[in-house]
Amino acid sequence: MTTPETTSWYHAAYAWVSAVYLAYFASLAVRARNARRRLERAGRGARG
Amino acid sequence: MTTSPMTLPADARVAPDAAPKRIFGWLFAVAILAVMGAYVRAIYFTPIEAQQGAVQKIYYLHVPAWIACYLAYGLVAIGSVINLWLHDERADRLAASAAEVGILFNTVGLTVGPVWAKPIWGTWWTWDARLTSTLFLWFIFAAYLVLRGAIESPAMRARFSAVLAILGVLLIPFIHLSVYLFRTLHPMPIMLQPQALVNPPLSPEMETTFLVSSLAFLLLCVALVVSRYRLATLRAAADDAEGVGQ
Repeated sequence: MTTPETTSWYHAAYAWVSAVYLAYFASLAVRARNARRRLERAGRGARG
Repeated sequence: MTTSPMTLPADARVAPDAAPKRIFGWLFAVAILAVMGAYVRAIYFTPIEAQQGAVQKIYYLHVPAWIACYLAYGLVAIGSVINLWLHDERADRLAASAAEVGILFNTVGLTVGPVWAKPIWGTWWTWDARLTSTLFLWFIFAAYLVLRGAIESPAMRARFSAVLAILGVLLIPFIHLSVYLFRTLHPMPIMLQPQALVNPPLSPEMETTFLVSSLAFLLLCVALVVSRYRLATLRAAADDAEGVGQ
């Protein structure tokens, strides 16, 4: 049996998984920044 | 202190001072380095499989992603049981955090599988028991996240979502056994079975890469659950500071 030419398939899979992880890291960072801003605004409001 | 199941204990609230300063810590950095190391080892230092060719290297992503997915859903179950038992908001936060990370790894497993299947099976997808049940698992935990977003009362949200999560996790043993119970196009496990300890099915280089990749993905899973938990704590502190739900 000859080995199929499948290099591009696995390159695509590795690239896709990396992209999914990066998108999730970015989503966590953005949501954390938004929560921190809410906390700061609430703190400023409480102080007057 | 007695607490009604429909209300949260006052000491479960998060004071603004107790909110975490950073959500990504050293564990996250170590996990990223481990995943990068696993990639380099799989791509450059692992031999190409004789029958399937280079596409077999998807194995080092696909199976570790499922292992990490099951770990995350296991944490959801633990958090849910503790929450139902003790009504502890921290356990609910752990369950919600692990569910989101579980969905991430579930998505990775579900999407790289077809990229491997197409050149080897000749089709992207087949409705066999293994593939269908893993898709069903994804829908259950997607529904879990939707349910959490739809209920305003924190105590009711924690209780209803915990029940759904525990029922969802019960599907995992069935998924593992589905390839033995039904005729499926999906192969039986080659490493996740007792016989692999006696008679290793992979070459030593491939086996090492699989173990390195599995450990890296497990580390990433734990690091992401920790980060997501810190985010949930930060959000709870912001809610309390704004007086939401009081």
